[in-house]
Amino acid sequence: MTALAHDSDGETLAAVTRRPRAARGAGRSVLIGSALVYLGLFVLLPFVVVFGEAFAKGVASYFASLADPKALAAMRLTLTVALIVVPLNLVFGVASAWAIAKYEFRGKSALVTLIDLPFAVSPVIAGLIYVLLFGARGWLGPWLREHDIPILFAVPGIVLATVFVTLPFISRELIALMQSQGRDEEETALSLGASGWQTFWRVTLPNIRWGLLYGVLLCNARAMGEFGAVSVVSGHIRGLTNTMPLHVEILYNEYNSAAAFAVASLLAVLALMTLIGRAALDARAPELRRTTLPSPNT
Amino acid sequence: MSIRVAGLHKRFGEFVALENVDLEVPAGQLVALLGPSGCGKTTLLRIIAGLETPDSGEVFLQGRPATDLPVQHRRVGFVFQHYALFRHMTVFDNIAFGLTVRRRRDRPPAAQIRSRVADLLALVQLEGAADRRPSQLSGGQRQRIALARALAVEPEVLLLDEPFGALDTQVRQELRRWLRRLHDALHFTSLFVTHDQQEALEVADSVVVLNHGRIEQRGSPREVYDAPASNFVHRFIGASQELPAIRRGGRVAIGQLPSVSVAGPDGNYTAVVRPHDVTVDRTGPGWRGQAVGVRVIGPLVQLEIALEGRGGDPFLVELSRERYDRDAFAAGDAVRIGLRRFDLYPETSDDSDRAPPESVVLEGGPEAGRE
Repeated sequence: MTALAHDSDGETLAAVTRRPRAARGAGRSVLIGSALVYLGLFVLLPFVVVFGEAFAKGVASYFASLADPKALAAMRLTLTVALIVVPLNLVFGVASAWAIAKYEFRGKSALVTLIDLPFAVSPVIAGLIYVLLFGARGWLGPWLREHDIPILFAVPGIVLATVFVTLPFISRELIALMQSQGRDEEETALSLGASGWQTFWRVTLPNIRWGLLYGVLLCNARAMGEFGAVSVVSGHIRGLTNTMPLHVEILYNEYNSAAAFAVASLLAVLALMTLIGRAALDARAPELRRTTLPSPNT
Repeated sequence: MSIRVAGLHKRFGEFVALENVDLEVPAGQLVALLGPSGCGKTTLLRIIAGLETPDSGEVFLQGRPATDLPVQHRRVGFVFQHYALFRHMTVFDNIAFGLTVRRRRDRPPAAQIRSRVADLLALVQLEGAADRRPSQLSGGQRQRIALARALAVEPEVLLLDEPFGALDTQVRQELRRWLRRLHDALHFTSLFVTHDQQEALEVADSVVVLNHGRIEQRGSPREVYDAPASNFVHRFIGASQELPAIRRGGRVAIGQLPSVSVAGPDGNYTAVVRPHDVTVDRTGPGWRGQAVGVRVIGPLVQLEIALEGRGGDPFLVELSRERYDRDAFAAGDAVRIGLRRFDLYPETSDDSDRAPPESVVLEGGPEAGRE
């Protein structure tokens, strides 16, 4: 970080030769410097702390806490949930983005707003919605209990809550991309004799593949990292309905901070890999940079 | 393959895109659909292609009803203004696309596809481009590839939606002449949409002028220019300007010009005049005015003249360079203008756009018509 700050100083010095440029250079290095300090303080430092704490009791203890059966169960559950949720939202995302970007229909703007809804709702509220729906006193609770279908405090509830929270990632990414690409290529393919299915596989999908991958990456990161909504519906049954973020919380509350940070470090690694993936995709498909990244809870 | 549409109607919400359109394109012709934006020309083209469905009316291809035929089975090639090349494929794969999506039993063997693509690349004069990506080509090259791709499946009809609209003037002119030669060599039926009258007049066998979803006129390029069927066509094709005219007792008076004898009902009229149907002299009879601008545009000279008693923009006159060189009018000169020819439109209510004009030709300039 210090090396970066030094670099921007170097540029200021180089720009001193002409006054107006020097003035602009000074302003620029103040801006860049403060951004770097801010990021370092609030993003980089916590990140480093996670790893520091995780290895506080040594490498052996780090791996022991990861190999703990409860931790392994949490990892398995988190992976299972992501494996179900990401494909579901992938199919929905492509279908909804296709419909919105390529067709005109009544209620289209309502659909777009609805897709954004999960970003507007606090994840805890999202979880509570499912409690209201499927809980023992909820609308569908009695019927579900009669038929012995477990949803709340079981894997299906966790999946549903995660689907809700991560639903906009892929479709929002694709709507902007597909709208900018228009319909001409698909129509050309049709006029050349391709079927609808061939057009999708050979024209549409290759055109959106990087955007799709980008959306999948973000959706996956959120699906694995989601805490609030899952916390409400999971019931925190250790080894059964605890996902990794929930497991971290439990360990932490039990003053087992080294183990908590060990598991947390896995999530941090996931975040890091997501970032690297994003950067790689940005380099690969520059047109994606135009689409803004939706932040959770906005 | 001939194209015929009958009684086509199409609305988009409140907007009427096509209103009772009948059109026939004989096999082998190159026809231009010409009109301002929003006139329905692209909608008509898309309905013929099967990319849009009409609210009512019929489409016939080669005499057979095709209204309900999906686009895949119409055997039409469609070329878009912005080329619509498959951006993730090479030029080769773009051109081969229509062949490779065929069912296995209809699909030509790979070697045959390769030689077909090579032939088409030669046809569009881009032999070396097979392995390039669309992003590595210029606009004109992209459009030629789009054309080769459309021709690969041997369509019987070629439909082009503003095919040269996104290109530079120079490339545009080159490409449209090339398209004309290609058409003459291959004899497919083509229909192309344009808002550029120059392009329509230069390339097409026949021009269809559309306005507000209706066909205003259909004719050869010469007919639509020389004998416009309505004031709209007159104003849309070629430059034209309006002068108020009054007819009383069979004589038409326009400003200071000597009145001429044209039989017909009394009333107020609009005389529509093309800039090259105007004579300019320094003396003699005619409408007095002052030259306010002179522009030499290659072989043509445009004079802007402020006419006495006529407000608004200066009156535009086009002279041949030869004529101009005899008098060398300069800005500030006092001049007299006369009309060689004008079209009279009754100045009635909203329907005036559609009324056919009376053409008045004064051979040899104003002197001949003077009485």
